[in-house]
Amino acid sequence: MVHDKHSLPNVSFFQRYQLIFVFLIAFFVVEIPFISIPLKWFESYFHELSHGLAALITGGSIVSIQLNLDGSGLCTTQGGSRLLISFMGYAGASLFGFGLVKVSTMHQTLMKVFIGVLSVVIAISLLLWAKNLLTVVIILFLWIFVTLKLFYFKKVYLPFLFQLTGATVVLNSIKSPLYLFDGRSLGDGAALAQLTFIPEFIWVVIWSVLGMMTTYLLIKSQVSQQY
Amino acid sequence: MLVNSSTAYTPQVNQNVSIESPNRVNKESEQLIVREQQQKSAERENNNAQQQRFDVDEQSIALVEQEQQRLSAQDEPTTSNEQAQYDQPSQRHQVAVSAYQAINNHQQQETISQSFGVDLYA
Repeated sequence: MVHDKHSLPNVSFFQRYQLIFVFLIAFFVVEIPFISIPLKWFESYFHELSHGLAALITGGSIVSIQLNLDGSGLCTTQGGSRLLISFMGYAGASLFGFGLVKVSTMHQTLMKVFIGVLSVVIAISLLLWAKNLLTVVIILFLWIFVTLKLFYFKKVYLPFLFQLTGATVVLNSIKSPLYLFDGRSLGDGAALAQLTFIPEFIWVVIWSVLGMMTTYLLIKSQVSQQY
Repeated sequence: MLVNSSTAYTPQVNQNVSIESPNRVNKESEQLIVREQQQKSAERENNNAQQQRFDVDEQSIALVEQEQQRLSAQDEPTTSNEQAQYDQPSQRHQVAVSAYQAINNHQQQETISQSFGVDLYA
């Protein structure tokens, strides 16, 4: 069915601006203790996985991925481009967040393919790179959450959960780089500053702006889809 | 004669002594009273001085206490929930500890990186 600009499809106000509401909910959810922790695990996992994938793409290897209960993580790599590996942590989290939100609005076949690939990647990381029990438990939790989508993709609440998870990942990818402003010259920003002589501040701004752009593009595409 | 004279002399000596001693006793007693008064006045002065010194100490203690209260008020968290956590170190101390631990972790990371030839990304 084709709609011209003057005749809007029969969608409710909530449906039209659903993603804005999801981002608003996510904005508050990430501040709630305990509930926000599993959502932080997603952001942390995608952050560390992005470091690892960047290492694999640039000819290196992943030694281990470690996740902690508080939402922090550590990726140990060998070889590869240190520049790209350092940059891809926060940037990759934004991209994964984008993917999680977009997958909810995709055609069912594409959605299944995306979730299937993501499920396999998580399973591989669980088998190959999780070296301690806590990391195994956290990644297993994430794998179950993602894989459920394959079997219950027709359920109404699962797309919403995916959108909410993706939105929290994107919001955390905006906020997390700001923690690097601690005056300690540690972390990905400091590593990039050391490698490129571009101040850490610039890298933090780039990552945060990337997260904001991701949010803007997602909301814009969702709103424009309704017209 | 010599003996008599000697015997006659002796009482004189005794008399002289007996005549002079009341005067001396009076003088000594007066001197003692004066000394006692002087001692008492000196003790009073000392007490007064000690009391003054004690007053000064109290003032300084009060100042120190005020300063400690001001410093502890600066160190203490502002919200009521955080005030209840007596064992929680102050913000300043937490920053110091985390900075210390971060340096330690950074050194450990550097050591691991150099030893095993791997890179760590947090």
